[in-house]
Amino acid sequence: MSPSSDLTASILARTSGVACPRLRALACDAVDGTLDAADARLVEGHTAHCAGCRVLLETLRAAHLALPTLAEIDPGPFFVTRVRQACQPARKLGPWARLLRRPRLAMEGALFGATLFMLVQWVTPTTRGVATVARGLHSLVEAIRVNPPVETEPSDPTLR
Amino acid sequence: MTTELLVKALRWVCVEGSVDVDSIELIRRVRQGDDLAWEAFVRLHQARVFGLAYHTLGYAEDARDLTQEVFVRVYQHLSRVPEPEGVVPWLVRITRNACIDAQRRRQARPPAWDLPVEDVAGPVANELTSDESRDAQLRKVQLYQALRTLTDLNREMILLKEIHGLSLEEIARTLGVPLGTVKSRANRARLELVDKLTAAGWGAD
Repeated sequence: MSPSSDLTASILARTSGVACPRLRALACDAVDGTLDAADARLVEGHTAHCAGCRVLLETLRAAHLALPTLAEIDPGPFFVTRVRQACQPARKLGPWARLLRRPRLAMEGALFGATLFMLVQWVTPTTRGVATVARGLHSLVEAIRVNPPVETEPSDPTLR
Repeated sequence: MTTELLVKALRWVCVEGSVDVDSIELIRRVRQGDDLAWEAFVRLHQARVFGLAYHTLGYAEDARDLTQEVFVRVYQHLSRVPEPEGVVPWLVRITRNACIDAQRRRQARPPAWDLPVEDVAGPVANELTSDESRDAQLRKVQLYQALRTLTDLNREMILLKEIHGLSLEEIARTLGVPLGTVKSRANRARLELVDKLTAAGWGAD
């Protein structure tokens, strides 16, 4: 460290503190080249004397250049064939056929049928329903008349 | 052969930054039933979609399934390709949404058995070519490993901005957040990545 930078450091220590956090805030813009000229000069001046910030900027630049190389990764030799095979059914089926292949179609159909049945019952509740109940009651009465219930003695002696 | 030439030409166009015009032309031909155009479209974008899915999900086979799903979705909704916006941001958005769905599914129903641990560099290692110097290859693997250790939010910002080169405006549109937020998040993510890389020895030479 030269005497002048030593002096700068001691003055900064007693005044504003080190300027590295400010450079960190500007570093990305410095690498992208979107800083205005005045800020760019200040950044340049700081990195000339601060090894840590110089490393930060160099690493940012290196990463900025290297990262786009990770964009494309080959998914494998047979991938196109796989996609084409997967697209075949999608092409053959029309929009109605695709609708019919929806996974919840059976449940939706059952729900619709049940709703329709209940609506019909609600709209015409009387004739057929009442007739069915009357027939059932009549059958029950006939059955009781033909085979009347027999009084039986309880088998448990304690109940006598 | 013709398809390969077409793909090579389109890759060059992609590097030059005007890929969307040609992708839209391919989409137009696919709509007319041109299978070759569809194959060329898949070849043109598969590595990008797979790369995004792989970096997000972390498992090659999951990423392959998801990439296939994305292309089937594109094929079923060819009429929805947004021409002014461009194909690449659209594909990135579809892939991102599919990744979020896949991650939610995995959280809701974790696999009954432990997933096998993949090679640290995974498919990235396959991308290393003998043309690259050993140092460059090592750096690529280190970069990939550092990326894997970032938080999900920061990794997504690096993926969209630095790796896939989306503009801040496109990212803001894709994520549905204000431009200022995107910018500050992107800067924070880049600085976190640099801290990891510095710890791995970058900048020491």
